[in-house]
Amino acid sequence: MTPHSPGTGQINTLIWIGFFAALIVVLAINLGLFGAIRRNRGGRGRVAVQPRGAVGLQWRVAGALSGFAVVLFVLGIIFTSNATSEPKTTSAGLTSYHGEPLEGPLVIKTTGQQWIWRYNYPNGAFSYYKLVIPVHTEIKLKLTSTDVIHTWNVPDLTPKVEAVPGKETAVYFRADAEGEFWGQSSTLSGQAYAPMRIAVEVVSPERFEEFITEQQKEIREGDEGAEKIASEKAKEAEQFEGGESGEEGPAEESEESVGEGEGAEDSEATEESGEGEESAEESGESEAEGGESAESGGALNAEAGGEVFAENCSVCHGADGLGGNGGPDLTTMPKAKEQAGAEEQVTNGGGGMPPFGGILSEEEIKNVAAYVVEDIVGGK
Amino acid sequence: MSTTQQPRPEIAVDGFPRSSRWGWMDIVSSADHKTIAKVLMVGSGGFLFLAALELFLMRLQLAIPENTFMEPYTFNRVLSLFGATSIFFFVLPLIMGIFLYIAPLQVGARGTALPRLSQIGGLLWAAGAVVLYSGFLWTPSEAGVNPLPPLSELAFLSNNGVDAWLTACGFATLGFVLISVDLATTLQVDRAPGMAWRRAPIFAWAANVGSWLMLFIGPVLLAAFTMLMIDRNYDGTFFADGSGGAPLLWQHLTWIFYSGAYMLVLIFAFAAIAEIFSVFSGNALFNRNAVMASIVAIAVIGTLAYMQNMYTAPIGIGWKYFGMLMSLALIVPVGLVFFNLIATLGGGALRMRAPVLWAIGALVMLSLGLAAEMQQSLVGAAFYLKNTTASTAATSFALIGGGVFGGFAALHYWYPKITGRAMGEQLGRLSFFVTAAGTLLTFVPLALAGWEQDQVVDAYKFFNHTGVNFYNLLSSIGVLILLVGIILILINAVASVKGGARAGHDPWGGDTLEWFTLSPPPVHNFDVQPDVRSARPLRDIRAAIATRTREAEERAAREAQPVA
Repeated sequence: MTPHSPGTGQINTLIWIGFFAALIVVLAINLGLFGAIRRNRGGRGRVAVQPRGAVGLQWRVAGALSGFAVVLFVLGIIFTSNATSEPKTTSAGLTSYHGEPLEGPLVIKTTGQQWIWRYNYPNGAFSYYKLVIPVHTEIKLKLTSTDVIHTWNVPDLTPKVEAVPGKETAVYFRADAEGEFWGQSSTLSGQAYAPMRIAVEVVSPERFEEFITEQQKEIREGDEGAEKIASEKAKEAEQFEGGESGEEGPAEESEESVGEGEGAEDSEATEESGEGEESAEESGESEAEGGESAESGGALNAEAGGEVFAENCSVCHGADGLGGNGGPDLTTMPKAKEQAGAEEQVTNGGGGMPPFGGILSEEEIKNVAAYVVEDIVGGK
Repeated sequence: MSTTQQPRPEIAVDGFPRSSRWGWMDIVSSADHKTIAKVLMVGSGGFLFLAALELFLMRLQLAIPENTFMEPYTFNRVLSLFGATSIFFFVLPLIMGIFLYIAPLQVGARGTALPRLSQIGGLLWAAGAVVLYSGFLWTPSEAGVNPLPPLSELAFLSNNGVDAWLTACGFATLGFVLISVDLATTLQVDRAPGMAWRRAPIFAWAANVGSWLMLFIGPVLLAAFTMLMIDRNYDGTFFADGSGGAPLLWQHLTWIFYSGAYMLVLIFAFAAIAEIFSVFSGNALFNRNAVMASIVAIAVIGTLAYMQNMYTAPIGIGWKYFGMLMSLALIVPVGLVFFNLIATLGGGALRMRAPVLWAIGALVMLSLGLAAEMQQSLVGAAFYLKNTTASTAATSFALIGGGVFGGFAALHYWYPKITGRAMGEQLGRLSFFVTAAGTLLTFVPLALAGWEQDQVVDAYKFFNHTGVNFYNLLSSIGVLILLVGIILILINAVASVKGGARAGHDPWGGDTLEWFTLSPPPVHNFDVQPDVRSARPLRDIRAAIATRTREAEERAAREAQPVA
């Protein structure tokens, strides 16, 4: 690893200290062992004569070993506490945010889910998979998980920290240089654990402000678009099915979609943040899912499938299905060209894609397959 | 020499003579510690082969980047199977088996004190093995080597795989606990007259400490398994967050067991090497009091150091420093043991036979693994190295060094006693070099990949352009060599049962009481329980026999002289 943060610099030094200590140990043992073997080989009538071992020798050896251990322990504490201390923002970093001076670290709520990381920036913007942060700024990541234990790991920037459901863990760091840094989730979290990667883009403070503004704009547009679709469908429902509820009221589905999460725990677990938009969105998500499955009857409903796609698939395949964060361009996938193949792929997964057979209902799978075949791949 | 032979009285035998070959029923119903131990040892040999095969399959998937040889869930199943097999069905039964066979013999006992407990323990272990490998009847677990909740809870893994895994490993652990009760009792009450602990063989002392260690850590694991079974099947919330449960509790409980088991492997290996070095160099163990005290210290401190596996978990930094303190404190007893083992050779006349070769290999692998573990017990270093292949390499060097190399050193050494025949010497050396080369080639590249590029563990694929392609390819080739080495050693063990050179009761010129009885020992172990006057009783017995034979011959020579 190439350390690009004060903390990881300390970690790197400690690793080298440990390496040299280990080298000393290995050399001492092996040279001693092979030296003793060479000088005490049997044969040619050699008779064993054992020198007497004084107890004092044992104490001297134990003393030397204790000294070695104490030195390592002290060095371990020093470098570890340096690595976990909070590195302050420098003058070149982000000093004010949305017009207000930034006191303390820039807090980004980071949530691990099967199988993607989601980042909630202050003031409402969020992104998946790629974390964008300003350079030379103290960052605090508040880590949690919505399902199983994940481990946050970007070796050049931060130590490994577990994201445990029900707990909030934190990691502080300050990136020293702009650029792109890779990370990899480090605790087995299920089938798509291996591709659960992390990208961190470190940009200038100005570019960071731009990014936040762009994200907020896109999210707003996505919400408005989804509201429009939802209200149109509510109108249709009133016309044709009569009495079907218009539950979509505050439904805020965004096209910058939410990631998949198995089990019922994700809606509750992320409720802790004070960010209003996010919690409303989560409850909106579960309402929307309820409304959606009530509406789509037996026939294939590509529009409903579009919502399923936005919520579950665009994470990896991009909002328009043309590839993005780990998932391929669907227009290049042979199975996506016709209904049966798309359904099969969604149900059973394969080729790095997790199976959604247990996550989505059969109806949802049919609808999202129809959406893929007609609206994404069809005609392209 | 006498010229007439006393007529031997014939003993009339009622019924049909017993067949000399044992049937299944005889093995299953036997409460003889030697039979039970042989079942454990033979079984562990078979499972070693399976574990090596599973490792090979996983590394085949990881030989090239983004390989599609295995589906992700297949890889996770093989991984979980490998974790259970290598710990519960290879290393621990091999160690418990050799302890159970040899330690009672070494202390001059005629059998174990609670034989039915050992019998039940052995049967439970076998039942666990059957449950684990009946996985084709259901789906194997996909929760990895240590099935952490919440992943292993019903919400995320809803097939029966995790239940089967827990049941199998739980049966095995319960079996080990019962055997430990028997062994600890035997070593406490059944020692030969005169055998105080200061005169008992170091291996018997290690068996004693190991049994007590298993008595402490086994039930902790069983508690964790039971809680997870309740969570999964009876709506429990032990490990479910949000309902008052704590996922982290599982990590505490299981790491207590795994750390203790790790120490058990080290204790076994060090004691076996101590026996081998002292017999083959002709010296006594250099300072047996220091080694005995160190073995106890390793067991206690090593288990207390379990939090070194939780450096990235949300426990307080103070606990992590405590884990680091305990891990680094291990440097003292482990270092003392290494020092005394090497010093035992000083002034001796070392005969380089196969057991010695394996023992030397064990010490080398252990030195590599324990030194790397020392590096990773520094909290800050573990922030980078934990859950990487570097951590896998460190643990593997230590456990393969102790379990495979130490285990096979012990096997080569005591094989003549167990079967009455010696293992092939040439094949023993060949299999040693092949296994050593395979181990080094498998795990050194993985250590480098983990350190340089932070390649993570338990992942079913790695990505191109991350700089680890060459390391993974080398490692996969190394596993093939390791597999060949293991096959060779197993062939050696199996073929020597019928084809090995016949061995008498003391082929190596040993110092301890197990060499006093026949090879293989009769059911009752000893016809006569000898008095023990020193730490090397067989040496005294040999000296006494030599003295009395000389005296008898001198007397006979005097009496045969014609009267002048």
